[in-house]
Amino acid sequence: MKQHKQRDKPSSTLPTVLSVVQENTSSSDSNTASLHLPNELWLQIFHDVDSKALFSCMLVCSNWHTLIDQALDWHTIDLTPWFYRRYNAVRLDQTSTSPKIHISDLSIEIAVQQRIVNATRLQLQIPYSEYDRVLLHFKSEVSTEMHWPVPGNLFWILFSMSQSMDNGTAKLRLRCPNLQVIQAAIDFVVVARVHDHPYVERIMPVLGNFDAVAPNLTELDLSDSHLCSYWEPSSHVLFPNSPNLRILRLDRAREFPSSRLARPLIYGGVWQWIGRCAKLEVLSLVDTIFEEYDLRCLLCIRDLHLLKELDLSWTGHLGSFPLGEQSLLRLKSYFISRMEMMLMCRNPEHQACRDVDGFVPSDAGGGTAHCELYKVKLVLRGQLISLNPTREEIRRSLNSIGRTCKVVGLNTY
Amino acid sequence: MSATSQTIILNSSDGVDIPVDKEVATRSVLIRNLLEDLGDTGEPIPILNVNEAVLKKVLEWCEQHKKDPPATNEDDSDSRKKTTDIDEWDQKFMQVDQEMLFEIILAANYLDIKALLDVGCKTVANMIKGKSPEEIRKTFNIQNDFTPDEEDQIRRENEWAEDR
Repeated sequence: MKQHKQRDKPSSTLPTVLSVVQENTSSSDSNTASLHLPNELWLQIFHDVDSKALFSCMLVCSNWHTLIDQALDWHTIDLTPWFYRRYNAVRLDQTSTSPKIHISDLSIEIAVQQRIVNATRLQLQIPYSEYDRVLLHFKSEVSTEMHWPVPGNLFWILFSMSQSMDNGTAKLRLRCPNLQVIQAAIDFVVVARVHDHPYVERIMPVLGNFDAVAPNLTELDLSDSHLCSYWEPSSHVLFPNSPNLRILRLDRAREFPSSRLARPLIYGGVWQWIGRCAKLEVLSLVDTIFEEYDLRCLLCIRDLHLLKELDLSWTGHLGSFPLGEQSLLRLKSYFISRMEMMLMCRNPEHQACRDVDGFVPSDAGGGTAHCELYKVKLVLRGQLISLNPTREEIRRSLNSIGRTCKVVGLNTY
Repeated sequence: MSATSQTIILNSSDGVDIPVDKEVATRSVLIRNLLEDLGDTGEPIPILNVNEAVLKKVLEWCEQHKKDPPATNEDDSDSRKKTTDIDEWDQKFMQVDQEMLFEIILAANYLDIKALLDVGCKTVANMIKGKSPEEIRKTFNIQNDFTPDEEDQIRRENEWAEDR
């Protein structure tokens, strides 16, 4: 057999470990090379291989397994494929009178856990529209209110590994000292499906020690998440205590009683939690409704002294902007020294708004004055650029973010 | 053989002199650096680790790509996209037996021709795609040194991250 030539390439930054190709001429076909590639080149090849093929490669031989396991980037862990696998492979514990999803294959959790320890970024991206697909598992089984706790949430996944799980089969400890970013697109627990209507709620695990589990968390994205299962004030203490959080995204997040599935709505408890994130610099609440009469949200925002960017963008597909004129005035007064711009534009499809200048709230009753606004964006960057932007300035700003609808300025405040 | 101002001579590992356009040869960072350090003396430049057949093949690639822009820092392996798209000409160029493919990759690595190395690695990556572990072993002549238990354990450990 032709021997592998020693190459004198000095500039590689990749680690060189053992030669990986084993000699086995008996099983090779006629086109197989007898020449060996060094590990640094196999690593470069592995960088061009998708994750599915990569796991096939890990099963090829022990040297490839070591090489891939140690050298490739495991800092970002995407749990989405695992999540889907879990649902596809879901098994039911038929022996129980109140069946639960059986958390059977503990080794998977251990494998996830091993990866997570070194991860700096965890993500779980489930399109909201797909939760119906998940519910297919339960369609034929559930006819009335039966509790089926399904791990569908990144927190749940983390804490199902660190706390005692429902079925009592495991008690794993988890610590993610390097974790800085959690991005979970959707967060729910299926409670039941009644007459084809999905009741989706969340059973929040105890998150009191979250700052111990992930002490260096700086970015949390819970967009599209359900932040609370029951309308119980006590449940709010379960939100994660992440004192170093700098960026929090709760776009379209919701906190609601079980019967209110249609509207994203967050109440005071979430604001209490947000208020404890004293180092928050970016707060994104795109298409998130919060109760206007609950002043806690406004006071919370006011007290976030390090806040540089607050995004209240409103796409309008859920109706009118949730904050009334008085609340917007308060927001403006809180941030007037830090405000870069506050953009609002009316829904061009709304008849009442056509050809009307200025800020015209409509009385929605119940003490909540809703404005028929199509888009609202309040951006703070620690620098005052324009207190009273002209119509043209607003239009330019909107154009810069790809919006061309009708706008009204702030001059009427 | 004498060299003109635009032609240099490369001496392969099996002792063959190959005249080549300087612009083509300097696609190799190694050769470019050698010329800068030693000056263009007209003497053959020894390419110790690449034989005539492989060197000619590499120079054929360099000739085809001599007008390509030089590689930038953005092309570094950490930042480049995970893609196995290969230019049509390069695909045909890489339609060689595995021995030659590996020789080209090793030569590109030795001569520091990053774009050629990328094409070679992507070609091998394409050979891996869609194959089972056993098929990969057979393709690259690798012995399975896992016990069945070890293999099963690794399979289960990484099940969570497989594509759905």
